[in-house]
Amino acid sequence: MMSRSELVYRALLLAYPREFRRDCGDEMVQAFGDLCREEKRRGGASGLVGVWVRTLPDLAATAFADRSRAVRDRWLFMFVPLALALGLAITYVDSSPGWDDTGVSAAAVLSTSGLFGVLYPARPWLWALLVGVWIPALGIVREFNYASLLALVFSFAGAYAGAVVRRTFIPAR
Amino acid sequence: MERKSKAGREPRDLLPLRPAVLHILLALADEERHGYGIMREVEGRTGGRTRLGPGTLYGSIKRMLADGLIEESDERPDPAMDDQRRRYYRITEFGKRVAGAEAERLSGLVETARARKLLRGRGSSVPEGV
Repeated sequence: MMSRSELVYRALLLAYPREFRRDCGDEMVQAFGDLCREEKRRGGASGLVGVWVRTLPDLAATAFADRSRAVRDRWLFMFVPLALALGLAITYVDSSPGWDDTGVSAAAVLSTSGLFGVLYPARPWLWALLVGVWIPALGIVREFNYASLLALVFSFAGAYAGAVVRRTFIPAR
Repeated sequence: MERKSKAGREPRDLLPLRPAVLHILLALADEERHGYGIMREVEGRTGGRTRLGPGTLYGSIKRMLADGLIEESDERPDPAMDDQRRRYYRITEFGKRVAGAEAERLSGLVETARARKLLRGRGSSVPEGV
């Protein structure tokens, strides 16, 4: 049967993301219970208080870190389809029959991939590919236009510049 | 011998290790242990100076499993004496290589500190008590 400390600790595990609780929750409660029993045997009530004093900051710090990681991953899943859609939209406009302003297309690729580089600087290569690969893909397939590969240069330059800007001016929390 | 992780990573790709990760690898270097056993080993080995909380311990274990540094063990070192729900962990060959690489890296730092007379002890010219 669980002690009161274990019941409280299990309730506090709600601070962690669900996936973490599912993978590790039972073991954490078991280890915490073992720790409580051992410290209580050694030092009585003050031993138990000591366990809580050490455990609460550990729980707060690690739960915050895991939540932050989970939020970052969620943003990544939201940004991928958005970057893909914008890359395809730029390609659609660029390949329209009446469109001949390559400079605007290049600027759009550069700024869009740069924006994603700023928003999520951990994977600039991903944003560069999602935004910039479609113009050369279409250009090569339709017209053997290998010069359109230049779009990738703009997308990589934009994404990596965005990531550098983010890391330079907005320090990681 | 397994020189790289399953993901094709070299030990140096994971360095420097976080202190908790190195402590867990050291705790598992000689025998398989469950989570609470790791906590006790670290506390005992460091004379109580390092105490891993359950959050730090299991957060590290989860990432170490993903990195291929440790793996779950099916064996029960002493089934008669133990709770069957406990999970035991053991270090992998890749984990041993990563721990060794980290130990060498730290050893290099210690040597530098000793050479610059920042460390008292063997090979240092700084007298005791200074």
